[in-house]
Amino acid sequence: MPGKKTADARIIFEEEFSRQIRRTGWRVFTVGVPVLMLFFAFILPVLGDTFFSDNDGSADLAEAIGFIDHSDVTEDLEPIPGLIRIEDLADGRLALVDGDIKSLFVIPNDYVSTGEVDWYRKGSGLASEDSTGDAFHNVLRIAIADDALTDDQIARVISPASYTLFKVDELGQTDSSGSLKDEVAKAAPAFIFAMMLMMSIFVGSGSLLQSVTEEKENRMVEMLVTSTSPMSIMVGKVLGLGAAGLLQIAIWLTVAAISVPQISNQFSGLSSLSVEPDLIVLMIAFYFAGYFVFAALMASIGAASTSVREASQISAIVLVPAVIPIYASALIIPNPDGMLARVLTFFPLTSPTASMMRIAGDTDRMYEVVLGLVVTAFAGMFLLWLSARVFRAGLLLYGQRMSIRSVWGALRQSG
Amino acid sequence: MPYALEIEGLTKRFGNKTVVDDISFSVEEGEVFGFLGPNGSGKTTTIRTALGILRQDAGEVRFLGGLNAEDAMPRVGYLPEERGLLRKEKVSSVLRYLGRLRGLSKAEALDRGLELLHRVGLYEHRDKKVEGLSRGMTQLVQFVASLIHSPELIILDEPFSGLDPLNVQLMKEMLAVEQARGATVIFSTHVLSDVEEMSERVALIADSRLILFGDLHEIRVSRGANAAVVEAPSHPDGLPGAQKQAGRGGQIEYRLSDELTPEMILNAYASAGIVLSRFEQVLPSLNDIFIEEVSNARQKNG
Repeated sequence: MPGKKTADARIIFEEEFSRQIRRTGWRVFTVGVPVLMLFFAFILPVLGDTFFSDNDGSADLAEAIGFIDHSDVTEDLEPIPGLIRIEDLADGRLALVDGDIKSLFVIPNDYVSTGEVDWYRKGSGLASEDSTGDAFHNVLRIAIADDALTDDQIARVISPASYTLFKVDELGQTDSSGSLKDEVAKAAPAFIFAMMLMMSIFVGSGSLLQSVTEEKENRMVEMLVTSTSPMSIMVGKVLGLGAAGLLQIAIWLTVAAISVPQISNQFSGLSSLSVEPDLIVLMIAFYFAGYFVFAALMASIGAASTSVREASQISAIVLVPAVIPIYASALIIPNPDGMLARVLTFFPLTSPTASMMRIAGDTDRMYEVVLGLVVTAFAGMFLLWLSARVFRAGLLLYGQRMSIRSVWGALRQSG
Repeated sequence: MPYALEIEGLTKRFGNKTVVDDISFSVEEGEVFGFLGPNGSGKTTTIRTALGILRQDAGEVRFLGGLNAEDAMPRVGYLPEERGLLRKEKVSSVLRYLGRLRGLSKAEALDRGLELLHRVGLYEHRDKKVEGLSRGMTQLVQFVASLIHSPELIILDEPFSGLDPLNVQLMKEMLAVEQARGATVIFSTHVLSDVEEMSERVALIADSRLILFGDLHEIRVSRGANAAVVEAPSHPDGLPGAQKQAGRGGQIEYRLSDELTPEMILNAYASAGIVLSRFEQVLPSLNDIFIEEVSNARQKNG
């Protein structure tokens, strides 16, 4: 009765979807991620206006700096907004205490020969992370070069070059691929997508594991399997929870579309982040393919386990590979067509995140990414079919301790 | 009479252990059928295998005039032995969900679920989560779920276990209504009084095998009387197997055996010149038959 099976799968889809989006955990996670994004986009810059440093070649200071010059090196220095000349150390200390300046630099009279400068700071934090140190370097560069160089030359002393990249392929053809800033701007969305993809797949497949294990543990499963087929149950569950995951991603993407340009504006080192439509399509395709793989595996583990606790322990073995490409991003992004990246692209458990990392690294072999997608999609479909059989076989394992042998035996019996 | 369920040579093994051994019986349409057996005899596995939850190793099962389990399921209501529902869901939501899976529309499932909740006295708990109900209440909700689609065949595995007498009576009354509607009811139990009260026909299994099947009265008649009750002003001494029945005045029950036949009893009273006001041969109770058959089966199987 294929008509009934489809209708049953639809009913289970609706029930699982509505149950999932009513879960507190799902709601907190769905709202929590965008709140974090908005925090980075809007709140954090307000909380600390020195959070993002500025070093684009201009001498303007993000924060007020005081200085005392005993060497006369800054004698002819043009006024710079934010740079305050102070005559006396006691006044300088007072200005620091009052918060009028962030740092106070004292240039001794033998500065030119020694390069030594005293730096007075207030409060906590590492001096090495304090941007006023770099900012005062620029002030000194301008002061030293002021007489000898033009304004443009001084700007080049501060910021010597902005690279435009040219890629040379195996035939010797060159292709302008933009600036370093563009490269970072291009890599960032793919990296962010990889994180989103991983989180959403984990939430969806984790919920499926919980759903299957609970139904088995509370014996609801006997009511279900006498109402419809295991395949309808699996398809309904997997699609219902997958749709909830997709809704989650859609909400995140919407918030990202608003907040990512705002975030990129905070980093003057970046061009505006823009998300290519084909990247979104690829991400959604990888979401489905990857989700099917993980969901089917989780459902199988849930069906074969005898308790939620046992299932959770075993599921970690499956989830760890998905994180490997994220941890290995430092290896994959700089070398997106290396052996590691290529192998991980064709392994269904790592393919979604590895592929996103390769896109972030601007791979030359997009066809491999697409092929990885196809492999993952087929693996997902096969595992979904297999999970229905394991689900069916799992019923035979009521109260039995799970072992590979017992699951295999049950699978054969369920045949 | 067409059959609601026919089981032929059903066999189920777990590894090397045979838990259902070549069992055959049939249930007629419209009857209430008792499926009896001591704990661990294989009742639940027989039911699960018949319903297709477990795969049989041998044998055939036909439902409702020849359907296989999968095709028959929309017309079958099933109450599993191990109770459980979606604990985090509302009672009405669970009933709506299970009703829909059994072919009802959303509205039909909800209406029918609420109507049945009314009948079992749980209507005011319809918006409670299942986890907030007592065990007995959960069992009643699950019972309601098995009836929600007005099934033609109702299979209940140990339906009365864990329920208080009032709820047992309520469940029996509801099953009588279902039978009056034309449904067939099969229930498994080891409580013999329930079977005697509700069923005309029974199947008894012990140690995975069917040891008795048929009309309960015919089974008892075929065994012959195993006792005789005598009512008289006095009783002769020396008759073996006499048991005075407490609180029944001059009534005595004699256990019949080769050493004590009805003729011997009557002769003894006549010789003593005692006039009988009542003499009745008594058929064996289901309890007697159960104990005898199960003990014999166990002795036979070592």
